[in-house]
Amino acid sequence: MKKNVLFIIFILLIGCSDFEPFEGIAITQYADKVIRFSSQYTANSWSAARALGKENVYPDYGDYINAWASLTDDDQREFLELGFDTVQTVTKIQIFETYNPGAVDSVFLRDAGTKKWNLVYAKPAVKGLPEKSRIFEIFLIEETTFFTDAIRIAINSPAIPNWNEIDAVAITGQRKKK
Amino acid sequence: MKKFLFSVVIFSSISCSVIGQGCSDAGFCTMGAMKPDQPFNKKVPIKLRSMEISFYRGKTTLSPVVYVATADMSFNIIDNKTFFQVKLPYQAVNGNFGKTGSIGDISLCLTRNVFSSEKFDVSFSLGGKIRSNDANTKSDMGLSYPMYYQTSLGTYDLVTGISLVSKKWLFATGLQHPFNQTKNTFTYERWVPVYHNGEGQEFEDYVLSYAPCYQLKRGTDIMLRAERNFRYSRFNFTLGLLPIFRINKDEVTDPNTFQRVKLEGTTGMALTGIVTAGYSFDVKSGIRFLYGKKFTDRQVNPDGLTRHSVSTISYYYRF
Repeated sequence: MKKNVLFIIFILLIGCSDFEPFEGIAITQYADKVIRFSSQYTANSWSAARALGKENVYPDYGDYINAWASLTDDDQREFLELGFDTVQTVTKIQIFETYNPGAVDSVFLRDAGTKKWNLVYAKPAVKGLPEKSRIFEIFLIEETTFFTDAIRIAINSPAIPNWNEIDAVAITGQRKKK
Repeated sequence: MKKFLFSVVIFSSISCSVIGQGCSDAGFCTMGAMKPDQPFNKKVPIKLRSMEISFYRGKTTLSPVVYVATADMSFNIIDNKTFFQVKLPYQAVNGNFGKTGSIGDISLCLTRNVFSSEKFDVSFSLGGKIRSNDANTKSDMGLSYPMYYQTSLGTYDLVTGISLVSKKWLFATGLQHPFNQTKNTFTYERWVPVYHNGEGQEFEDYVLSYAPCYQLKRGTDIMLRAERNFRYSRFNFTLGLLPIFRINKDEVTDPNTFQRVKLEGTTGMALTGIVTAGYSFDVKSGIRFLYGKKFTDRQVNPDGLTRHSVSTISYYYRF
């Protein structure tokens, strides 16, 4: 009897980790709605809505109307808040910077349940990047433990001279199984 | 005995598809009282010094394969009940990211036989591990390797344990506690663009399969060892189980925010099954083969101490 009890305890101990990773369906989606923004160059060309959907400037580099640009070139800090159609966890963020890259200095993801913003990236703007478009990729060290429905991108526009344009924003992770 | 063997078979059968983790070349399971296959013979006078040379191969759960050559010296001090052990390893790692190699962490351990009878001995060990480097070895391009490739754990550790050894059985328990964090600076953002030129989702996935380990602080480990020994005049065999429990979470710096983060999935048990086979040339020397197979693991293993299997061959000389 004692041996059986010990054996059962041993079996139970094997699963003693309190962590159960989320197992959903892999997904990458592009931002599909504008929630808020600090400014936009016009309501049409270079508008915040131009940062929605799949990239349509990248890999080209330059001052194209199909990317978001702020109203002024370097007068103030800027931000974009963009929403996603499907809530999901996040392991990777991609920001398509197609003109004067390097100004993004912090990124937040919004918890779809609590509506709180969670800081996932905070580094100084990167000066001196080559004059070419880039996919700025942020790899999270852990999959988010919350489902997100929006992203906030903060841009230190004065740190990187001239307009800093964003063509598209994508997040990768897992969505719930239906 | 039959039930014990039955249990081992059951564990073996349920583990076939499970990736393992736990026992490794770098841990405390081969120090002092926590060693496997400890001698127990009341007819032969105890030898006061021993020297063991071993060669280890460990296949990790990712591409790296770890090779370690170890000189393990033990000699008595004060009286014939107290021994001091020194382990000097040379470690080499070969994996998809590259190759590394250097002197590994040095183990020092004082072991005292605190009780001895005709039926069993009880020994207590106290020691530590001294790092040989800061666990931030870098590639030719200047990128820090993940912990899997590091030849040192990068920490100063306290190690202590106690064992009970009889003719047939060995039971041991031990604790390993690191005092500092490593200086490792491995990040995905540096490796993804350069590994296979960043072309191909499979290569990105491979980089991301290494758990984050930026300035890693490992949690504390507690080990248990239960081992059945079959001793004959020249041959001896052991069959054992080695569960290692990480009781608190590993902690790293998030390189995206520079905040300290306790990683989920890093606590829990890693279970290894171990068999050894030894042959004694005479009362002084012999050889031993050890094979370990992992049955269960923790979900996340930033320290790189993950092994599908380990095998060690060693030669010992006692005098």
